[in-house]
Amino acid sequence: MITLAIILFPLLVSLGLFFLKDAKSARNAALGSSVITLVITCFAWYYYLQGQLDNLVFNIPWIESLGVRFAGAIDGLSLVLVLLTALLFPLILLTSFKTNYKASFYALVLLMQSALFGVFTATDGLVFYIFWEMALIPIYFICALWGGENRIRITLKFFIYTLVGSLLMLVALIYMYVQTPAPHSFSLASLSAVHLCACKQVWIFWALFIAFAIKIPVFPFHTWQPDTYTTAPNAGSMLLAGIMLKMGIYGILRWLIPLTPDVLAVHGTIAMILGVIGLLYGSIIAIMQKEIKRLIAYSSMAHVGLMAAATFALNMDATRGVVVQMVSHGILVVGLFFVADIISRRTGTLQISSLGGIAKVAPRFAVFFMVVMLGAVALPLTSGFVGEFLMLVGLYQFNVWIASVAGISIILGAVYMFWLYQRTMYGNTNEITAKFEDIKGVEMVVAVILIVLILTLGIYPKIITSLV
Amino acid sequence: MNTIIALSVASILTLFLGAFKHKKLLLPVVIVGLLISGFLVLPDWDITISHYNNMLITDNFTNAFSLVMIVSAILVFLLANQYYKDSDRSLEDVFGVTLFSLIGALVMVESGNLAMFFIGLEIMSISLYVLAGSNKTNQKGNEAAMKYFLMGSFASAFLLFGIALLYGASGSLYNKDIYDYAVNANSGIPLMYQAGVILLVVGMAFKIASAPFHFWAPDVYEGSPTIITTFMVSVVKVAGFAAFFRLAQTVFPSAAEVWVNTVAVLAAISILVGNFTALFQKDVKRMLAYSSISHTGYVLLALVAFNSFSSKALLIYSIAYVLANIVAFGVVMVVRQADGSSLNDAFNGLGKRNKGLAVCFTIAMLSLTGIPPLAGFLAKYTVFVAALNSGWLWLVLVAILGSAVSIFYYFKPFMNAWFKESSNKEPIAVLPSLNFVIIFSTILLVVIPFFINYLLDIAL
Repeated sequence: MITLAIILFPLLVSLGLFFLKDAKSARNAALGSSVITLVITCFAWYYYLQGQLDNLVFNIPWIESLGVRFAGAIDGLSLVLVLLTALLFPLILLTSFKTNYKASFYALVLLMQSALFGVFTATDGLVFYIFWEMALIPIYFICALWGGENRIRITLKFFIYTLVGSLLMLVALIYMYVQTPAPHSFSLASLSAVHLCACKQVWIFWALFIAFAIKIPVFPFHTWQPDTYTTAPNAGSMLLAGIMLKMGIYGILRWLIPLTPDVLAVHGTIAMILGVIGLLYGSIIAIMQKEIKRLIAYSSMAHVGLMAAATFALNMDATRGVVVQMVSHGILVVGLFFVADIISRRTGTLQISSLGGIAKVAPRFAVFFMVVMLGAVALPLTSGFVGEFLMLVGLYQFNVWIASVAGISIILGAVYMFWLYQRTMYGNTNEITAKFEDIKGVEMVVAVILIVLILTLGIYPKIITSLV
Repeated sequence: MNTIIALSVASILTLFLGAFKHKKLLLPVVIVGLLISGFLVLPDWDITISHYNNMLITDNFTNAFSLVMIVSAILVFLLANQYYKDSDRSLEDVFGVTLFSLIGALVMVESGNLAMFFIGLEIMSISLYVLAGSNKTNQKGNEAAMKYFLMGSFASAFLLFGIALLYGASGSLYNKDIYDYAVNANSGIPLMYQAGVILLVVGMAFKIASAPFHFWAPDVYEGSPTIITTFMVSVVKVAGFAAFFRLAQTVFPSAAEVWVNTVAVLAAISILVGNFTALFQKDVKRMLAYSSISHTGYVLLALVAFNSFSSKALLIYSIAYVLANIVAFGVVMVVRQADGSSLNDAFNGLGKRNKGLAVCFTIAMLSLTGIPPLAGFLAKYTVFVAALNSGWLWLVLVAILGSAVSIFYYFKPFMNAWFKESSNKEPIAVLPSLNFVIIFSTILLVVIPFFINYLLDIAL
């Protein structure tokens, strides 16, 4: 019941906001709604910890003759992601507090939140697909209407790329549905119970993997990502990188691995290698980037490459690491894009070469950037470390070579992150950065919350790991 | 039967009212007549009645599709209010002949005898040839009417030849007798019968504009007055689908390998040709014509599946398709009236000039592409399930490819509407009847997925 409330509440508020004319009240309504959703989610967390799992399941008959039920449930994995979504959305809305967006922007953001909740809790294949696609429409409009240069072409490319992947996923799901014993059912339980021969499972594996790989993105399906992250408005980039890509990793954990268990040994390894290639590739290219947002995009690609690889290691450590890293990466990437947003709003440029010496004039901002950056580098005591460490342990148990290659890329991550920090924050100020205002007010609030989250998760990760 | 009688009375009444110059009464009489005939369908629900010794058979299948056709006709006539608001020509001929066409469509769907089927088909088609050229001063309209007439008569000739061959093989024109003949044929089905079936398929494929018999459709759809195109794309297409399905169910036994593979290939070609050619269209009206060819392909997918699920998939698909097209053509009509053309560029800035129209148009385009959670997605999904249930994996993959390609051309007009500026900035005002039709259809497109269970439970 409470799960249904979590999904429907943002949806209803969003529909109301579409008809609102006043942008400021829309913004406040959206913020209020996201905080209320966070509170409801905390209730769900409480129920989960108490073991009252019945409250968290809903199962409404929808299209009986097609065996589709509107069903969803929150278990440990879903709870982590629902919490992440509920936590990040108020923060994302706060980072855009000062920007004057129209009311429809906030309506689209809340619509996306509802769709994301649906994706993370659906236990019925068609419901999962519907929410998956439904999450795509708001982000397309957000990026296309409020984005940067070339936004129409780039967002169309992003949309088509993702849609093709989703259509593959639809065919795979319908195919498995047809294989379930009559009367057919689309529920996760019955789909997992279908045991196709390994030859057919290969096709299902690749169809589903390509769909999720495009979303995450995993090399070589990543070409849409740097352009889209750079062109999107800041809230859009945070939504894309913070939560939307977690849809892909969640999909692998929840749908791909249970549905194709027999081919994971061979083809999962291939997928893992693709992830590690993406990790190396993203890291190396990130070092060469001259623009902050693009650097963050490539670094995100590197991190998620590691996550995608670790999901296929198929042991408890790696999976725990992936879940923790999902939360940590969401928080960190929101922090990084927030840094980029502050810099671009204060100085009007995101070119690293034209920045420098900001730490001298904006010490609070420097501290915030430092904490976020150290988290991204996976320094112990930050949240980034827990996830990376667990994933590397899991990968090591799977294959020593892959783990060592992944380990090398952590060094590369340190290279581009520290170099970015040094070039933008240290050194001498120039005319652009001399008048850099330090963060205050709403920005300060967000920065403090992010720092607290990063350090808390780093010091006491048990909050998350106990749920998995 | 009552439906057809009521509609005939309404149509003749319309002609007479026009003769006596009661212009204001025309549209209300038509709408009331359609509403009455729609209500007359309901008492016969869940009963199978045979009229005139099995010449016309009304069962749930025909009832459901008759309702779809009558409701779409009502919506199209409400749109006609906007289309003809500036013209001072007398409209009783257009309205009357349109009603005749609808009557022909109903007869065709309800027919239990091939002669009756042909009568219904010809009533529908000849009325359409006239309607396509109803704007006498438009040169493109005249060309469209001529092309439609010539090619349509040619196709009807093929159809008639097929009927004659089937009669020659089985000795009767009644659907049931032909079916029994083929089922009971112990020593294989004779060549005359198979040839008759193929010619019937060819004739019907022309009428529903399936590739490779589609070449008439873009020119005819583009040249006809937009309101007539809306009628063609909604009522006539649905009638064609329903009649084709009826023929397949009652005349061709499912064991006939003759037609199933042929129609599968027709479906694949329609999807590919329709989608890939629509990519290159600069005129939205023409693009919608090619898109309707691709939708014919998807419907043929449901036909080819030929299991108990196909008729339900067909009904859902027809409803989603009709609603989305009515919205799309309604907006095209308004843009044409405001700017004189329906090119992609004419849609620039529509989001600022009339926000409601732009939003509804966006939703209609998203539904045609098949984006969840709109009705168009569920329709495509039920068709895919039906097809995969009968094992047509390759066809479903072709359909998926077509859907992916279709994003490009469906997105262009509404992207122009929202993201591009236009030189003409004045807001567009439309009549309340058009607003009602477009908003009503859009709401249905969004809401149907929640109530799809009821549609699927109709015992077709």
